Parts: sequence; structure tokens; C-alpha cells
Amino acid sequence: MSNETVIIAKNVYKKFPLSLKRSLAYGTLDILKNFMGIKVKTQKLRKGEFWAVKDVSFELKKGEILGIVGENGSGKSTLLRMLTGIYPPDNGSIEVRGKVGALIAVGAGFNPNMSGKENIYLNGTILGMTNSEINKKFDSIVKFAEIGDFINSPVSNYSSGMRVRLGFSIAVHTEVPILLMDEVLAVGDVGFQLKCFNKLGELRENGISTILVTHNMHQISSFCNRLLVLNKGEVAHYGETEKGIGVYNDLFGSQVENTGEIVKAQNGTEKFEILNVKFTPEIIDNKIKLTKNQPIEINIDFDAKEDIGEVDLDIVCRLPVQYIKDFYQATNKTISQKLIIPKGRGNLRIEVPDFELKDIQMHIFVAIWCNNKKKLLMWWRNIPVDMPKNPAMTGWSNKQLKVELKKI
Amino acid sequence: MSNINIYKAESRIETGFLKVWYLMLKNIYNARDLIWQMFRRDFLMAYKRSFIGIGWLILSPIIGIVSWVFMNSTGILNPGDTGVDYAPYVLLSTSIWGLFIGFYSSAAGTLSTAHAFILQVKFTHEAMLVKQILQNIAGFTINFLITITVLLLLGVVPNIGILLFPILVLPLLFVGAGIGLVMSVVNVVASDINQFVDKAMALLLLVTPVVYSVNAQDPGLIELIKLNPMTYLISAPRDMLFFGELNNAPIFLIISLASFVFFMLSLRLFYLAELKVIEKMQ
Repeated sequence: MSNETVIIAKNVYKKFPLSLKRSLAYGTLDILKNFMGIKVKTQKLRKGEFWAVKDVSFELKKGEILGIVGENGSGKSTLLRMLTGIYPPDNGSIEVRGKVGALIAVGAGFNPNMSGKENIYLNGTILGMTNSEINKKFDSIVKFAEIGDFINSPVSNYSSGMRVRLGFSIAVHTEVPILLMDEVLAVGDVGFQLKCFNKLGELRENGISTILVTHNMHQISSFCNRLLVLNKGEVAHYGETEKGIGVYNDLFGSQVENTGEIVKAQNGTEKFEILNVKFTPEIIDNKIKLTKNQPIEINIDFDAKEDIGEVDLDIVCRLPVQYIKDFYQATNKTISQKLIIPKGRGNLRIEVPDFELKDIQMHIFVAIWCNNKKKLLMWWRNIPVDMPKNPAMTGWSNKQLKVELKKI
Repeated sequence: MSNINIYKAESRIETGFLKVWYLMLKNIYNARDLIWQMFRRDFLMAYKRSFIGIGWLILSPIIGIVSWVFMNSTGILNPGDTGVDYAPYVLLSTSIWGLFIGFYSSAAGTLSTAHAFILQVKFTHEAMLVKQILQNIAGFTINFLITITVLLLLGVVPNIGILLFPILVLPLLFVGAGIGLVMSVVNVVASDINQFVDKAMALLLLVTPVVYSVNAQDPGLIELIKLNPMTYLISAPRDMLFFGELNNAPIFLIISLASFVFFMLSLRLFYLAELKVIEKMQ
């Protein structure tokens, strides 16, 4: 059953006119033709038109998360609008099996003058829920969105983060089999992003398929089963995620994220609380400065309210974009170490070996998952690490990650 | 799996001639929850947000009637024999005309009022049309009840023919909403035509016996009135309410039928053009 396909896009094309005047002229002409029963030939470009989406084919399988990446103007939003049926394709066909829930913009369709509550009913109805369904899910929607008392005040008073939370919460509560998310998770705090991704993971378990449009490569590499890279409306890559990230970096390398901003999310769960995260050497002025042959030590203190079971630890070190790749990635499994967290307070000590790199800045990423990588407990991203000047360094390391778990 | 959608170029034109209307009706039926939500939101919001609130509904016809009665009493207007006193005549006439214009403008706003929505969420746009029309009818109903109350206060007792009123105003819905639907499409591709039509509607009021009677004095005007189909559509419900009779019944029936055909064609245009119009909405 898991191989069931929910979206089949076959050689999809969409064209747009370059100038407004021409757009209106063509529009009028086409509408008149249609009204008189004449089909418009949409397969060829007319003067002043261009392909916004050109010969795009892909499939979305049940329970799959497909990432779509590309620069601004590469046709991502147009493609999503075609998938929802807002625009018809000009050539090719799209077959969609099941209802689609789309979150194309932040708080799409919210009425700013209405309260959050009224908007839940309105938006829920638009997304295809009945009144009684919304009644049933109302509390859960509000709880997930973390809106609290604001639920009765007008949405115009909400921060953009709150709008995204509410929009996302409504969308995931519709229980439609296909979800489309367009950059919606770029807004809002990291904690909520993490919660959203955990929710998407949960939905995936239930066989819900998602298309995720984002610029965030880390989100892509962590969550997507497959990746579609668009370049000027055409498919530059379709398939394996890691390979796709490489293609994306080759194409748009200079624009890849890495604003230098450190992202710290350590929500844990109700049963697992992260008490403290400490890096040695410490993060000072938003970076870690290493001296010669110095490893990075990460100490995580936590409180498990009950047996958590097995967790996964994931460490990634990334070089600046011109070197493209994550040059170091290790998990507790690469060193054949199981991490099982029993009830009680504990400390997880991680030692990332010293790399023999000279005079360069890398970024380190730390993630801890539970439930067989379905739920993120902690996710610190993008911490810059300055490597020391050392002419003796060879540029690689064959030393292994060290991980230790103890009670405190 | 149920609910399979296949999106292709120019698929709407392949829909059978009669099937278009069947599909639209089905869509509207399926979207009844949505229509109700949107109706409730917009109808109540309009009054929630205005300072005078529902009071506005009472105030607006009174302001209208005062200005026309004033003009009549100064002799600027020469309405001809209206059959009843001028004040009740003009009150009812303008309220019927308002219903017609309301149908026009509400249908014209079918796509534009939901502009932001339409580009982000897929939903039945026919629902917007129905919601807009319902909103107009709801507003009119309140207005009409007030009008009747004022008529009674002025000593005019409506004829039993008032029961036929809802049926007799149907052609106004067809013409008004029909023009409106065409405009909702035209609006997006050529917005200047919209302004032209708005002006034309204002002009139409002047050549329709609304603030004067069909028995106007000027022979040129009489000719114009006779040629104007709106004359019959406005007069029918009014005559029925005041006198319980239908003048020029055959002409009224023919025009009503034509208006129905026009409305159905405008629905078809809307159905065919809708997606192309949305592409132009940026």
C-alpha cells in the first residue's frame, strides 16, 4: 500500500505573458474563443510569453515527503498552484488522488478583522471540514497553535509567527491525504518549526503525503524522502535527496543559507526535558574558537520523566558553501553505540574529534531524535567553529565520535 | 480511491453544454457549509464594524426618501401620475431599484472580493456568487420590512399581491447578477470597462420609471421608457404591491424569460472564463 501514488504530474507546462498589456489582450481573446466553443491552443508560446514551468514530471507516493527547491521565480509556486487546481496546466496533465490541503502563504485566507476562533471555522470550512468536524477538533487546533487567550482577539493583532502557527495547525487538522507547504515554516520560532516537522513525521506515519517547498537545505536533508530541484521552470534533479542537494548547491551555491545565525531548538517532549546544553570550548560571540588539536565537547543534561527508549544522535559538520558537502557526519550508530535513555536525570557527553583543517570556518549541527528518527528532541544548527591556523594539518580526520551516557 | 482530479489544459470547454449548469449547482450544494460561513462572516461583519450598526439599514431609506420628496415638493421633479402618493411611490421604487443594483454589484464582486483567497486556496467560486447574492437579499429583506412599515405609517396598505413579490423580482436577479457576472470576468481583464458600466447603471436609473411614473410628461421620454426593458421589470413588483395587478403582462413575461436565458449564459461564461481570469489576478 505504501507504494500507492497520490500525485502523478506528467510533462506539465505553464506559460505566462511577460507584459501586463499582452496578458490582458491574450486573456480577453482566449475567453471569447472559449465562450464561442473554440479551444485555445495552449501548447505553443505566443509572442511575449515564457514558460514558467516547463516539462515537469514527478510522482508523489503515499506517506512520502517530497521536497521542492529552486530559486525565486523557478516555478515552485506556480507548480503548487497547479497541483491544487488553482491554475490549469497549459500542457501535460496532473492527476491528484484525494483531497489536497495547501498552505501556500502565511495565514492564507485569514480575515484580519475576525477573531482567531472565527477564522478557524472559516478557514477550516474552506479547507473542506464540516462544522461538526471543526467543533470536534477546535481545542486541539488551538492547543497545537499555542494561541492561548489570543483566540478571541482579531487576527490583525497576531504576530506573523502566530498566524503561521494557526494556519499550519488548521491545515494539519484537516486530515487530508495530501499536504502542500510553501515556505510556511520559514516563519515562526524554531521551537515551533521543530514541532511542525514532528507533526509532519507523525502524519507521514499515517500515510499522509507532503510536498514541502523550502530554501532550508537542512530541513530538506532531514525530512524529505525525495527531492525535486527546479531551475527556471525545468527539472534539474528529481530523485534522491542528497544528490539533489548537491545539484542545488552546484546551481545556486552562492545563495545557500548560512546567515551565520545559530538556531537553538531544544523542545524535548512532555516526557523528556532538556535542562542544559554546554559546548566546550564555549560559544563566545556566536562562535566556537578551537585551538590546535582541540576536540569539541558537548554536554547535554536532561530529565526523562519516564523511559524514553532508544534515541538517535546526529552530528554534521559543514564547510562553507564553495566546498559544498557536509564533510563530516556521524551518528551514534556509525560507532555502533546504542543510546537508551532510562527514566531519570542524565547527561549525554559527545566528543567531536579534532579535524585537521587549517584556518577555515565550519558549522556544526547537533540533532537528537527519538522514535526511530520520527521525533526531534533537540536541534542546534549552524554553530560556526573557527579552526586554528596550523600548517601541519592535513585536512581530514579519521578519529571517531565519542559518546557517553550517564546518570546524574 | 475516491476523489480523483485530473488537471489538463482547456478541460472546461470539454464539459457538455448542459452539464456546466449541473456541475455549478452541484458545487453550490456541496459548498453550503462554506456559503453559510462566509455569509455569516460578511453580513454580520458589515454591521459589527460600522458605528451605527443595524441602524444604518433604517436610516438609509429614510435619507433617500427625504431627498426625493424634497425635490418633488420644490417642483424640480415632475413625476407624472404615480397612482399613489409620491413618498410611498418613490420609497418602494428606489428600494426595488436598490435590489437590482445590489444584485449587479454583488455578482460583480464574485471574484474580486475573495482575491487573496482565490490565489491561495482552491474552493468553489460559485459559492462566492451565492454568498454575495444571499447577502444582497438579506440586506434587502430588512430594508423591505422597513419600507412596508413606513408605507403603513403613510396610510398605504399593500395589496395581497405582495405575496407574489419574491417571484416578480426574480427577473431583476437574473439581469442584475447576469451583468454582474460578466463584469466579474471583464473586471480583471479590463478594469476601465467596469467604471463605464457603473456609470451606465446610473444613467439607466434616469431612463427607468423609478423616481417618476410611467406616465411621464415628455413624449420623448415616454418612448425611451417603453423601449427600456427595465421599465417592465421594475413596474411589475411595484404595481402588484400597490394595485394587485400586472400591467403589460406578456411583455413582462417575455423579458423575464430573456433575462433568465441571459443569466444562464453569463453563468456559462463565468464557468469557462474563471480559471483564465484567476491567472490574471496577481
